[in-house]
Amino acid sequence: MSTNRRDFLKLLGTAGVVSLAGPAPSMWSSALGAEAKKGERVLVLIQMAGGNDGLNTVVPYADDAYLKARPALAIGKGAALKLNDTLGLHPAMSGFRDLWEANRLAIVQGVGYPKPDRSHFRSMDIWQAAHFSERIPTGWVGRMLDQTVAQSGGAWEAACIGLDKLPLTCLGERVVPPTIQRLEEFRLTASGRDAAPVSTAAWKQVAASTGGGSEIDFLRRSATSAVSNAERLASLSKTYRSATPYPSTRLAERLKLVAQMISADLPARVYFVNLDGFDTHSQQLPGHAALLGELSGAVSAFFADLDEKGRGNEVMLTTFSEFGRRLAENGSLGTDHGAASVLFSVTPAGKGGLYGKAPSLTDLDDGDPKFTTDFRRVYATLLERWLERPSQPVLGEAFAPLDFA
Amino acid sequence: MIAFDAPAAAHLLRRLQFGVTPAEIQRAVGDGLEATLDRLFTPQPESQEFTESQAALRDAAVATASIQDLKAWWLHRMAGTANPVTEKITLFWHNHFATSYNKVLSVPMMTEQNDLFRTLGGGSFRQLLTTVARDPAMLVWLDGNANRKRHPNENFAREVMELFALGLGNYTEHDIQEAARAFSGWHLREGRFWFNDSQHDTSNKTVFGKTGNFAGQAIIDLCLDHPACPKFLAFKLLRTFVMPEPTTEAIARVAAQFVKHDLAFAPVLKEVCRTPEFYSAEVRGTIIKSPIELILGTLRSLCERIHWPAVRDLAAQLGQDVFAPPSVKGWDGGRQWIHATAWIQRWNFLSDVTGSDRYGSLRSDVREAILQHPHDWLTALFSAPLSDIAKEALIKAGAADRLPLALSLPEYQLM
Amino acid sequence: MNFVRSARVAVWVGFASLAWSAAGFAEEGSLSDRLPPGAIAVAEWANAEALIERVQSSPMFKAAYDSEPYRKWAESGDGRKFRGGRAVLEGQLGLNLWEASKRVFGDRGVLAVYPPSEPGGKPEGVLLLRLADDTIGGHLKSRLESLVPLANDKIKSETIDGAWLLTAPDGNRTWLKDRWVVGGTSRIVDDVRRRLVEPVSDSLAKTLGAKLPGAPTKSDTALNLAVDTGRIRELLGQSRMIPAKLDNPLASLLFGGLSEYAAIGNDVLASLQIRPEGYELKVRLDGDSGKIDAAHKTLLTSQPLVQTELLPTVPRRLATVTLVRDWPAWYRQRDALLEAKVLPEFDKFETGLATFLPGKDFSQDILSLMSGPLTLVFAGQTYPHLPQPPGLQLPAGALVVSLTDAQRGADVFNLFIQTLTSLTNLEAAKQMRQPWLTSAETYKGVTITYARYLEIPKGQALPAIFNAQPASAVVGTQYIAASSVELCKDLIDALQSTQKTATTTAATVQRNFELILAPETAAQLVNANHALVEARSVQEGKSAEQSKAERELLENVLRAQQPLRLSTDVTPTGLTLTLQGGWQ
Repeated sequence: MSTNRRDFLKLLGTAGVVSLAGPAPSMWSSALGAEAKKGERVLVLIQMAGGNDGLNTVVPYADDAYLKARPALAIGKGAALKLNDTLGLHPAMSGFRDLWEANRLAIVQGVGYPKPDRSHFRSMDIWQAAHFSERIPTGWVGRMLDQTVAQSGGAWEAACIGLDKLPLTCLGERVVPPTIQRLEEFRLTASGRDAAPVSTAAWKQVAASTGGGSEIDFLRRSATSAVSNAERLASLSKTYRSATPYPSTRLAERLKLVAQMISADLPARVYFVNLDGFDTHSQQLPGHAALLGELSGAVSAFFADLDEKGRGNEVMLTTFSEFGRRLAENGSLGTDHGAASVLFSVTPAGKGGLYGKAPSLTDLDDGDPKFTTDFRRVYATLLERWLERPSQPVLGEAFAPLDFA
Repeated sequence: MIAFDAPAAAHLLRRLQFGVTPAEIQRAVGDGLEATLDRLFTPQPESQEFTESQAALRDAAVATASIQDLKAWWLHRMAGTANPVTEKITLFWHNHFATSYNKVLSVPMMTEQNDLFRTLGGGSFRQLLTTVARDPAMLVWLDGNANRKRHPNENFAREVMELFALGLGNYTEHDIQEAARAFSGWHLREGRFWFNDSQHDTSNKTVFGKTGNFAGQAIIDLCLDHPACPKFLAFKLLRTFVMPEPTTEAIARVAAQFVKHDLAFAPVLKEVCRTPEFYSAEVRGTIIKSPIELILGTLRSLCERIHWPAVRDLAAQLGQDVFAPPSVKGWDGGRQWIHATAWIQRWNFLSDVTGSDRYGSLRSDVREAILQHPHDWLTALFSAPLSDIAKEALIKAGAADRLPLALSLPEYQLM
Repeated sequence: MNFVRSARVAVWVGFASLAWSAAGFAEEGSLSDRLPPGAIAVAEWANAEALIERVQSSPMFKAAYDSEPYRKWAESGDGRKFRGGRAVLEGQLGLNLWEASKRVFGDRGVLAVYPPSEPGGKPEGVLLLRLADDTIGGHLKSRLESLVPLANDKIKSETIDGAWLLTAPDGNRTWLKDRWVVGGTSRIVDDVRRRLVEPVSDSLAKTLGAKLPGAPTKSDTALNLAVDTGRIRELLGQSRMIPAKLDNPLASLLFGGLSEYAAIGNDVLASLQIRPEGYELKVRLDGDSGKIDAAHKTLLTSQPLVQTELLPTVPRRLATVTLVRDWPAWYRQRDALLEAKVLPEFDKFETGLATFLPGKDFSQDILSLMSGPLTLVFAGQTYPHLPQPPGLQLPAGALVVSLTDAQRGADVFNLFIQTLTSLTNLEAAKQMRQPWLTSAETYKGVTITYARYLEIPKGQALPAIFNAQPASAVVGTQYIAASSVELCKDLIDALQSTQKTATTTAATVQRNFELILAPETAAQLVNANHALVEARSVQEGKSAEQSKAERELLENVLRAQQPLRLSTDVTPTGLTLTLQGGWQ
């Protein structure tokens, strides 16, 4: 076991930052038992939940249609952090501007899908599943993991940070990755007995039995892996500290945990991190600025930390959100559910820049800019070019990758 | 013909109340299915002790405007009432019209909405939806005041169709935009519903292909008369009370019942509980217990002197924080309840039930009773017969370990 | 307080309690005349029997016995051991413990602590009891003698002149006849035995014992204590026993002066009198006031007491706390009074205060406006301005300060309150609460500025915020900031009454600190909020009936208490602390 990884595992023990959720078939057994492959590529996904206002994130500050549609909310030429003659970043995103200047920030414009759905839940399901059917049992990362489980016996896994339940993205037929919050949540109490009932041989024997319907089968599997994870984590101790200062935000805390897991060579190849609060129906300006500041500050600290450890070029970070907002602001100084939006990818040096075509702000579809780039092309890029997995079995059809990876 | 034996009675009671005891099973078997259903669906007098203690908890919550106290009141009520079906239906509607204090920020409004679900929940969905649409907490929750003539806000119109009455796929985006205009001016003033006619859009709207100068109530009526409405209610009823994945046939059957009963909820639920399908193996023991089912069911069956603040906090930790559902979609339920953290918390709770006073004290007679009448208790605790391996493990376990081991089995999480 | 310091304090307190009591009273004179001189602490008591009897028959004691925590403890392992041990002992003695305590300790006793006889040794203690009756000594001997052999001959048992003498291998020795002597060494026990037979002139009664305050009476229970702190410091080789800087700002402000005298003073003298109508504890800290530094002097300023209390009482009073301090000087010298680690908190506080008083400096602009006494008053409310009381009834609170410049002071404090009101209104709007409107009215010639609610909701329990209706007024040089108009008016009445009497009475007492608690009002508040108190109990799993019974018990216990008064007064040679109270 490498020193880094041992340090990380110690951290799990005392810092108490990690908990595992989910029937996690093999992640922790391979993390703790098998030698990890150092230097594998990692993907970090940040979900900007609520529908991020792309127009006030990557701002078309020179576009009259934008300024006219948003008399109160538009970010002016003077305020935007200029990327070129027409576009600028929201003023709270100086960290992203630095990444842009280092040629590491890819901005994909006009990302969306046909016949946009403005329900949070439905649109989020579509983004997470990368599928349009009514009943979507699995997510795109989950399906990718399912493939590798079939092919390689489960070397690939993912971890979800800071969520109280597993996002659909990571849910597969066979694979249910852990969600990680805090370690204390993993301590089994014995309440006056020698051991928790689930730690006894009798319990394990019963839980290993088969038969009954699919629900009991699911419960037995998830319970068994929960017990083994809890028992392993119970033995870990000691702290690990990062030299890079992170802002004191929740996203920064989560990304710091991810950086530690990456530098400890845990075998997870996909990390899913959530940042909530983008449903800015009213009084948008202050709240949105705080969220973008949190995103930008946390991501730039994350890469500074990884660079310091020499791991920055092994990691790609991509953001997404279920939809953008309407072009026109509403009457409560906010914006309502829209459709196409922008997303960011922090890529290894040299691949930064603008990708996809910015939608017209005068040729609208029901008040929304029309999408120009299918979101599944972004997934295809991440799968084919970054994680080096075939995308068609995951996405159901072939999509042309973009060049940011 | 339904064989209403002890396992069948236990199954019925588990679905219609919170947990079950051997004595309750015995009584139900003795009374028979019809009498038991009549009793469960007819208001029963509450005990004096329950009436007094629930009043004390409720008065305290209202007096201090503490939502935490209100949560404790409701959980206490669910566990202690002589009318558990009413509380189950109230909880069902709370999950259906999922409204959170975290935005409403008013204990009186949350209390009023909860009472509304309790008084109208068993009756016609027509009256319920019509009333909920004007409920102060709902108006705050879905931004009623932001819906103005020239700046319509679609929040309520969308959820009426997507989550309250029809379900996805039964309306278009255009329907929502038009409906939102019909609800414009449905505002809240001084804590009450107020029709602000100066902010109401009186122009024509086209919804579900019908055009007219619709007011909000007309939209509600259109939704109620929509053929998707009974199906949607049937789906939700089945998923909560019967099976995690309702079949198309079951939905059709229950939807027909809803049409027959003019969308009245309790009568349909009662009908469902007297169908042979309800007692089939495909239905029994297929629902993963929600945190509230697990906690209250366990405590009701086994404990006394329950410590309500601890119970309330545990339910929230496990993901079911009443009066604060995660979103307007409510709790997803089913497998979403179960992840490894939840497993640890569920087990730790069950460990504490038998080994500490943290949530309540194990009733003094329980340990002995379980040794005396193991079969009765297995029927009460488990929704399906245990495997031979499990039975053997329980027999081998020492007398003191039997109950903790039983509660920790994955099978215990099903109802 | 850090560990070392706590330990030192504990040693000091330990000395004090070991030393508790030794002084013969009354017809026989102080029992301390039978003890050798040289003690560093001595405590003497008389008539403990009356106290034991009162505790035994007190309804409060019975209530505690019936209480849930006691029952839980009694059922726990420790509780069972205790009850078991007690049963064995009572069986052996043939007496219940109450009776035995009365007959053994109920009359008189003296306890003295001497410095170690050799350097590095332990202090030596000796206890001398005058047994309450002639037979109990013989009874104890006859009952306990048979136990001695159980100690495997390690304890030596002798009978000398009708007295029973026991000696343990470690030197502890006890001698029992009509007196009972217990001591750490044979030497000291034998010395006392000799002195019992034939008094020696150089007794403890002539030295430290002579300082014991108070005189015993026939019926009251009394305890007198003298601790030679100067000598203890000398023996410990330390110039002070409590550090000059404390790490708790509030403790420093309240008791910093007291602890300084305790640290550098010469003696601590205490007397406790317990009478049927109540108890009084007086502790005198004597020392050289010249040794007090300038920083601690800011905590030792005083106000002449013209009536029985610095501020006359208000109706439904719950508590009053008055601090007489040199406020601006105290704040400037906080570095010398407090540990460095707590000082940044003051800076944070100043930064926070800037929000409410922009452009003002706390020390220069605010504290300099205050002189002398600062009083906090809490009282029950009757809500004359509301249709019904709020769902949760809270006491009103008020601050009364003496201003150096009445007009300027009132302006600054009113600015603070107005800013606070505005900020509260912004918050109220967000939470859909009623905002406050600033209004004014005149009461007995005084203008009261207060905030009233725009509207009072009808037909529902009023939220707890309706307990507050901020009001302020200036009476002479006194500024009142109260959380209710009612309390503000009551304070105006109280202050106007002091102004009338102030000139006519000559003050003899210089008061430095005063705390008064009225349990009766607390009982009324429990009663007013009985539904809430009972609901807490129902939440814990108790029945409604049991919850009601427990709440009534709590009320009765509170009602049984007389008001508690704690004060410190400055004297030419130190400080006197007085604690008075009582129960039924």
